[in-house]
Amino acid sequence: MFIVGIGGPVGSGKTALVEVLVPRLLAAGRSVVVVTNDIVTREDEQHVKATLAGTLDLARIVGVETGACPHQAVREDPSMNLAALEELATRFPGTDYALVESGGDNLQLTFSRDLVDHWLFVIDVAGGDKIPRKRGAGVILSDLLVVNKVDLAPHVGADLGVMERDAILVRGAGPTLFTDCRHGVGIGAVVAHLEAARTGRPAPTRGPLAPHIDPDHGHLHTADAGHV
Amino acid sequence: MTANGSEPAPSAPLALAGLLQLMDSGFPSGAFTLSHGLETLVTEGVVRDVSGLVAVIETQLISRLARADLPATMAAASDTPLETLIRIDRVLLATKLAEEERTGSCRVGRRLLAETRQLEPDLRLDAFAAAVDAGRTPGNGALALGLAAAAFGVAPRDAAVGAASSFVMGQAMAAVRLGMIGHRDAQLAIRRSGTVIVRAVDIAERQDPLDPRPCAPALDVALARHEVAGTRMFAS
Repeated sequence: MFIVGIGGPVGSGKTALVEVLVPRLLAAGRSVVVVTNDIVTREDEQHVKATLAGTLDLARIVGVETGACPHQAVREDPSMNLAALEELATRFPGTDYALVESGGDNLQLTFSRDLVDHWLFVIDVAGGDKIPRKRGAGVILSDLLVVNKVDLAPHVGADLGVMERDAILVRGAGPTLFTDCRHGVGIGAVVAHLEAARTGRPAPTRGPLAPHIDPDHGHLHTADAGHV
Repeated sequence: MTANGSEPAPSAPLALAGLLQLMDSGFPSGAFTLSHGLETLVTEGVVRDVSGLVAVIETQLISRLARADLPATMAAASDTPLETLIRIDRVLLATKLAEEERTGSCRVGRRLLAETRQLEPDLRLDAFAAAVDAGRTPGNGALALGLAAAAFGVAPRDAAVGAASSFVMGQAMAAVRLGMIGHRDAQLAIRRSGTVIVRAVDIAERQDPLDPRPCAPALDVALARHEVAGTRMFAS
């Protein structure tokens, strides 16, 4: 079971990413389980279950309460997540992917390498295009940086080119992908990245590739050639 | 003092260091996700300040842990045979009325067994873990902690003191996270609870672990109400 952590600030789109990744992974013939970490309620667990009802066996989705410390639950003491993963692995042997969504935290969130094999950090353009250059540990150290809600960039004055430039600056060769989870844009590239990571193949994307407006057609182009 | 009036042998310095490691909040057992009913008591306004917190801790220690969990920890830290430990484990689980308390205790127990076995080879730990994996015994945290302490060379009474201290610190930190008190009051609550820890361990030494008698109805109600609470920072 390839365990993938998904962290990031509150509202950046971690839950939305899980909800669009799962159908794509299932369509690719992969089996999936999901662990959500909520901070104060069971909102994320319930949202994922409601969205994926009919798509994924709901027994494959479990929530973990984090004692108000989402970072501790995936970093210093990931015991309850490990327990949940062990229970899921026993119940669903042969599962390909476990997606562990962290509770919303700040830019310093990192995952314990004893908990996950690979981890994504999700930020969004509405938080401001300065986020990458703030150099949070999550932005710098994650295996994949996902910049979500690219469709909102024109509305919030975010310059995706600036975010791409700064991501290269702080992450070096670390990959960055741009997505719009709500409309399913850029998700294919994330799936391809995960498949490469799981199988040990070279990643199909190298470095950031910010969406850009096609001057001829007015389309927003993304890493997986999706249009908006 | 033990039953025959002699002072119990203290743990050796290396064992004491091991005890401190096991009871540290950084030891990965997942215990920090449990409030043992405190979240409900705080969010419903039953506990409002450091005095209320100290009272809850005293009830938890004297009426619950001293009569059930701590005797189990001491039995596990002694050379109690495996089959007896399994009987203690099963009856201890039966005293935990709220589902979240049962689930939390067993998850902590499994993690403690897994993490400790990585650190210290021990046949009793292995045998108990195998019984848990086989579904023969639930694997409560109290027993796992006692076995882990024994593997580290910790004396049974010291294991119980450590378990009680760790519980008190967990409650104080939970109260801080819940926004009820600040860091100074948290330390005050821990310090004030010191004598209660000693009383609890004294009671636990006289309590038969095969006949646990916890009785704290208000806490049982709080734990049960937590299962349907809208606000849930903690898993219990």
